[in-house]
Amino acid sequence: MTRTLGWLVVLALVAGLVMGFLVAPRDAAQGNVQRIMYVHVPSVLVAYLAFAVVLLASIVYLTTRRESADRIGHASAEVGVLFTGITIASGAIWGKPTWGTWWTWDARLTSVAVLFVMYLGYLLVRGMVDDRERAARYSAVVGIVAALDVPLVHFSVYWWRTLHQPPTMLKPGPSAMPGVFVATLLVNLAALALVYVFLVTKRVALLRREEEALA
Amino acid sequence: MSYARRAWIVLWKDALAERRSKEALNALFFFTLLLLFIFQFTLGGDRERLTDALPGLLWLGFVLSGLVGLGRAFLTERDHDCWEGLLLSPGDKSAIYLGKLAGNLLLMLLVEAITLVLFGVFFNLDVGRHLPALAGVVVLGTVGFAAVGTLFAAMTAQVRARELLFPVLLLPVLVPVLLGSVKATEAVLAGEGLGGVTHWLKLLAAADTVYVAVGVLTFDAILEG
Amino acid sequence: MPDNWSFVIAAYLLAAVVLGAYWRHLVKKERELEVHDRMDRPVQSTQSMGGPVNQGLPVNQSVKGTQPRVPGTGHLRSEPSTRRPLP
Repeated sequence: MTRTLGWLVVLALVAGLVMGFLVAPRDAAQGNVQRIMYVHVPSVLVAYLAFAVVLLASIVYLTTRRESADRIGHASAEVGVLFTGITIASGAIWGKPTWGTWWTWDARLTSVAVLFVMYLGYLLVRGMVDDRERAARYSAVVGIVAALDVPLVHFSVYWWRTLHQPPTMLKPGPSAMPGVFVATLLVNLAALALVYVFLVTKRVALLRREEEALA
Repeated sequence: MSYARRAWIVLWKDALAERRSKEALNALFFFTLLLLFIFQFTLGGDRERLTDALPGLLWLGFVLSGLVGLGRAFLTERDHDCWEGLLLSPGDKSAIYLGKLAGNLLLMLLVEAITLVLFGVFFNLDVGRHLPALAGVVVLGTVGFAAVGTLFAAMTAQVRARELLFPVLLLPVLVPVLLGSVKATEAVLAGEGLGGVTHWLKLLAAADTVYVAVGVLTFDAILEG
Repeated sequence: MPDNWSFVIAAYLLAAVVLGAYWRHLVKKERELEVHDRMDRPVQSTQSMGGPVNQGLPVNQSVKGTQPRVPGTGHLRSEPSTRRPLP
């Protein structure tokens, strides 16, 4: 099953690259730098997906104590942190030619940075607590707190950057994009989502084998 | 024994222990005083820059002393092998969480009050004029701080790298509380009152509710075993 | 505006390297575990030591390990697990 998934991932990635570089036209305002968005935006969306999975797995673990839930949470957090890192780095690489600076404390980058540190904390708990069962319980709590904090972080950071008036919209969405841009984004999103599934599946299997090896 | 009574007993025990030894309060008082000196030395050259930064510095002081205070929240239980006592207590363990939360909240509010006075003295901050609104903001922010702080303090109490893990876990989660509190404090100290920052206050209230709820629901899982 | 292709390439390359390195890390650990498994079962192996992989052994067969069983720990590290003080 993993082999089919693996090939599907490769296929999807190729499709994403084709869309991103050959099909999608050059952006009028930003030039070709805009193509970085096809990595950056899907990455942050997959990261959010990963952390939503962590939340669910954490709740399931605390209520049922099923070890599979713990493994899924652990794996999803690892992959989620990876994608968050990719989001930040690709955002910075995009920002340098566009805004002239590697980093800026704008709402989106800042809230993703906070997200990154929160879930790094989750992984730290996993690494620093020796007793496996305790690590599972503690990180489940951290996973829940972090996930519930995400909307709070989102709003607070966004309001912090737009002085004085509270926003009327939920978030500053991109202005209506022509269809081919959206399509390219979606294809790349699907591709990265498949990468996520692939990596999490592999990581969960590895976690199970690590436990068996020590049993 | 009722739930509320159990929570009260935990609070009473901690308050009594603190009143007898005054260990935490004295140490935190001196710590705050030293922080003020450091703020002055690092930022004090430019009078106006310091005044502009005061809301932020105030909360920076609260956070740093809060970290020290909360980090010691479960010290007695850990050092004197009372952990089993907590584990074996009957009934819903979240009562212990609320008792501890109340204790930590009181201690932090006390230290913050002292900090405000010191700020008033050393940085010429007119605290009295805005006191009610300021007090409201400080309480809102501190509740959130204490809620997550107590939960994570219990979690890290028995971890070998607790001095590192505790702030690393706590600070990112507290970003919304920090932002909201500083923004609201800015408005109050600028004389604008709370009217323009109601969205921040609502955010703080929402955060407080979420944190306390999670604490109550998950404290059992933290303590067990 | 100049096209900054180097930035585009850098971003894509970075994503590829991060994900690829993680995948390779997982594959490597998996292989290590397989070797580890095989080394723990010398009596069951019908082939001489150092011979090719015995394809017959199912991968998730539980291991009668030669390592001492430490209850409650699930990590490959060697740090002692924190124990509760005995009453």
